[in-house]
Amino acid sequence: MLLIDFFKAVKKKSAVLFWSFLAITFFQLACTFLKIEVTPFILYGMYSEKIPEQTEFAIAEVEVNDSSLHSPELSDWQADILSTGYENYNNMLQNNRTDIVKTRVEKRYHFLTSSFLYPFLKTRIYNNEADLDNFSKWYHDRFSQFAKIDVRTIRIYSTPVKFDRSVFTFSKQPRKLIATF
Amino acid sequence: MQRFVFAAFSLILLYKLYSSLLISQVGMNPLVYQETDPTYWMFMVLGIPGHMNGTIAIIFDVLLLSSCLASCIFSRQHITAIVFFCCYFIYFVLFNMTAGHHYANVAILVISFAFIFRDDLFGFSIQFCRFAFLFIMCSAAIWKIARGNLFYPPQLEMIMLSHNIGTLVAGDKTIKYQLVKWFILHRNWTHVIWITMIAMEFSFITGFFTRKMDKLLILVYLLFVIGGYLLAGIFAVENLLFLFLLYPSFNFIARQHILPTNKIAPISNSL
Repeated sequence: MLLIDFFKAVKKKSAVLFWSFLAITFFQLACTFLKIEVTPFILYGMYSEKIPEQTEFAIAEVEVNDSSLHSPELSDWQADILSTGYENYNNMLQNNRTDIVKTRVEKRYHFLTSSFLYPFLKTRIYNNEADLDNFSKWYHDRFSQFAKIDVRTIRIYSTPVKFDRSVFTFSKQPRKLIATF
Repeated sequence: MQRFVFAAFSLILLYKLYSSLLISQVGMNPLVYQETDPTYWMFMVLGIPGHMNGTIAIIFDVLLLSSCLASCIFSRQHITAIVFFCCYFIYFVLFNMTAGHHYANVAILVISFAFIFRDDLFGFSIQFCRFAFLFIMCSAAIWKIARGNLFYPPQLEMIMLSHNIGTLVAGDKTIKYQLVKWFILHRNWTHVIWITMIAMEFSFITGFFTRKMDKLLILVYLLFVIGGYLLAGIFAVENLLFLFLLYPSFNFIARQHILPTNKIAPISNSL
């Protein structure tokens, strides 16, 4: 087997390199089996969770200075930063202005929350309300920078869409304003 | 080899510079996307995101870009490659704190690791990175199989609907619209494509046994990328660099009579 031959050859060449590669391999496998992500030991389970069948979707629409912003004006990376940033902001708002990571950790990881380190850690590793307020300015600045326009207002709308598979039609519901920056 | 790979890295970083995506340009998002990743937590405990602004961020970006360009131009040394690897790791974490995709684009991080070793060890480090790439593909397939996704017909259909909902509602009648519509209306065929894509990912397991299949794996990877783009709109340009680990590093060098096709042998970094 190529992999075993490889490790044998590395061991022959350099013991330090052999043990380094072995340690990296061990950590990657351990993280995968324990389902924990410790960058650079990343989990590659993208799209592996079953997505329940659904017929209702939502389309996000963005209005900048009272006119629609079309995504081709932004690169994929830029659009990702803006949409993920907004989702993170919205998740925190929906979670009573509390970081969703904090809620998750305090619900699931009692070994961590009961440790003596946690009071110190929790002041450092979570987003707080002040960050939530600072986000608006950062979001405005990024929009102006990426779309190359002077941004005065940003409105994000969500349009619910119902999908009827039998006749392949999508019926749009009235859009709702969900955030203003 | 180093010149070729770092030229590709430089192009991607220059595109990011043009798109205002370097740290000094994008600035740190006040609401960081740290998830439950201890590495990201460590960065926050050390206060790195808070300090990465103004002059420090500019110096960091200059160091990142110049170490990449220097590794490309002065390809017979690896000091700048070590500097680049360290800078890129910091950039990777900080950028993902802002952009929120912890694992989507990992090719530069994985491949640049091979270049931090001295010349006589490079042959081993590049092969180790090749195994890492094979593991990424295989484990992606195993995750889907283990979670019972292989025989779950709606999975790809739901991915296609959620990624293309804007196009479908607009009904622009483009080729992409027609293609997605056809697949959504033909669930059995969508499921066949889903199984095929998982099989394509799993086929990378052959690389752990032999390098003879690498040429085929290139084709499989390209088809996988094209399928992912057309059906789900997933296109990670950076990850195409993984192809360096299959073809140019091994079979191409082997053709120059330096590396036996299926034997373990060191490769010089300066090739």
